Amino acid sequence: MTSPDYAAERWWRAGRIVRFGFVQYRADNPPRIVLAAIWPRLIFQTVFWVLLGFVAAGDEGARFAYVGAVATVLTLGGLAGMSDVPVDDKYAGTYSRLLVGLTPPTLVFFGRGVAQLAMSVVEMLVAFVAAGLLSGQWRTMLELVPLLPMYLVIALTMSAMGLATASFCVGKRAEVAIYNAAMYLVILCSGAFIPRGTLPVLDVIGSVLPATHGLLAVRSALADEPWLAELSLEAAVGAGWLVLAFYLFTAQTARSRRTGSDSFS
Amino acid sequence: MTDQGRRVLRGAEVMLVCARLQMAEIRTAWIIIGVTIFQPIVFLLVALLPSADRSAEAGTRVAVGVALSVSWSATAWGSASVLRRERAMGTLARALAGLVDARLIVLGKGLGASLLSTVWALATLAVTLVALRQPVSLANPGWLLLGFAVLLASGSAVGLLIGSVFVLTRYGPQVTAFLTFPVILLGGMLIPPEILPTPLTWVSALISLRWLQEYLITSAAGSPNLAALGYAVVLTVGYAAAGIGLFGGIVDRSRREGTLDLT
Repeated sequence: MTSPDYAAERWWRAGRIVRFGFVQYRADNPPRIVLAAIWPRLIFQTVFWVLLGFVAAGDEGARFAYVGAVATVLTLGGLAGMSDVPVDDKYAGTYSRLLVGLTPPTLVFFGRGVAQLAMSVVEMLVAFVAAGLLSGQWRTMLELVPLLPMYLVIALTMSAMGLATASFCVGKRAEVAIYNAAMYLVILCSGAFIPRGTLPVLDVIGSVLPATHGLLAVRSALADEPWLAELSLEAAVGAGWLVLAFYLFTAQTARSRRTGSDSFS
Repeated sequence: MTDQGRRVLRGAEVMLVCARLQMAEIRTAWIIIGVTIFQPIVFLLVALLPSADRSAEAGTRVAVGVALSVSWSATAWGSASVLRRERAMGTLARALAGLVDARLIVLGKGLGASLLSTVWALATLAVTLVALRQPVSLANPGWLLLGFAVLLASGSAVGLLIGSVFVLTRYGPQVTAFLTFPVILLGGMLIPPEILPTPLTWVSALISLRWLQEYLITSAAGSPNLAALGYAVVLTVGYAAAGIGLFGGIVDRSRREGTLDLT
């Protein structure tokens, strides 16, 4: 039985974990680095994709690429940033402490991931506006404003996949390759830049990746077509990744406790 | 042999040893897979598949553009990892304050990083082009090799400039990530400089990759644009001179103020 005090303490602890995620993000990425390096990089990256779309397929290509590029901005915080959440413990040597803590490591990682999710949304909004203006896509940008909640769903699914891929980084020193692979898979297979139906194998892989169905929903909404089914599929994909992430982290924790091994060493 | 001759030989030896060391180092670093395998495949597919023009000419233009973009990313990340290991192992101060000029170390390591990653990226591109059955033209292999040799020299010279940043700040990875896309965007490799606003074409003209792109495409078509190669060489010499000056200055300052390994 849980007493009210115990429940309150759990909430307090959850709050501290989430807050810690933000503090850690700030320590890793102080404001001057965010303003001088991270945001400009994302803006340039988005403009690059839009111009590449223009070179490949003219004005229509540029518009298509802008709609997709905004979603791929989320891969930085949602996939790469999220992978750093457990990896930080690897480098700080603190995983063994998480194992003996009151809050299960899985929940600690989920809680600390909130900061990465929030920052990925902020980054997306910055690139959305700045790159929209710089690349001359301001009309598309205005059309997309009412559809931003759809991008929010994509942000959630991206972070869910990020948590699942992060769990693969545990026990290996391959986190950079793992999250890079995940980022490029999303860029390539989600239909952000290559229209569906161009290369069937990409569509098959894309169907279980974040952003694929969400972007189909956004494009349908832009064309005044029904979008709810695709958006629901996007949410379902996200839920799938979240369950996988939960299972993988929990299984790893149990194995570490059972074998006495520290998966992070 | 004169003292001068011995010094030059010694310098070349240091650079070679450092190049080999760096190649061994990046073979174990996973980022190289991201940059030389994932990135070329993705760039090539995204640039080619939505396009209606799949001629050998378009294929060559995109393939050269992707090769140069990837080479640039690899140079940026490679130079980033040049001093990262020194910082991680606590040997940065020793490398920068040793008997051998630290610039030879960084130049040699930059050369190793550029060489290995360019070869890997070209191999990835070749396999992907074959898989896509995309024709390309390769009229002048000798001229193309010359272009890639200048590319490697350019990469090492820029590596020295980027290496300076890593002595100054611990946020090197973020700074490198920031540098990657503007150069790919403005370097005229995948985006023709003509579609950029006029002031930006000036920036584009200062990037050696823009001229190498022109030289390599014209070489592949059979009539190399040697003036473009000349511009690329001049810019490379400029980068090297700036890098030598800047890196030397920054290292001197760090040594004078005793801030090596502390930033």
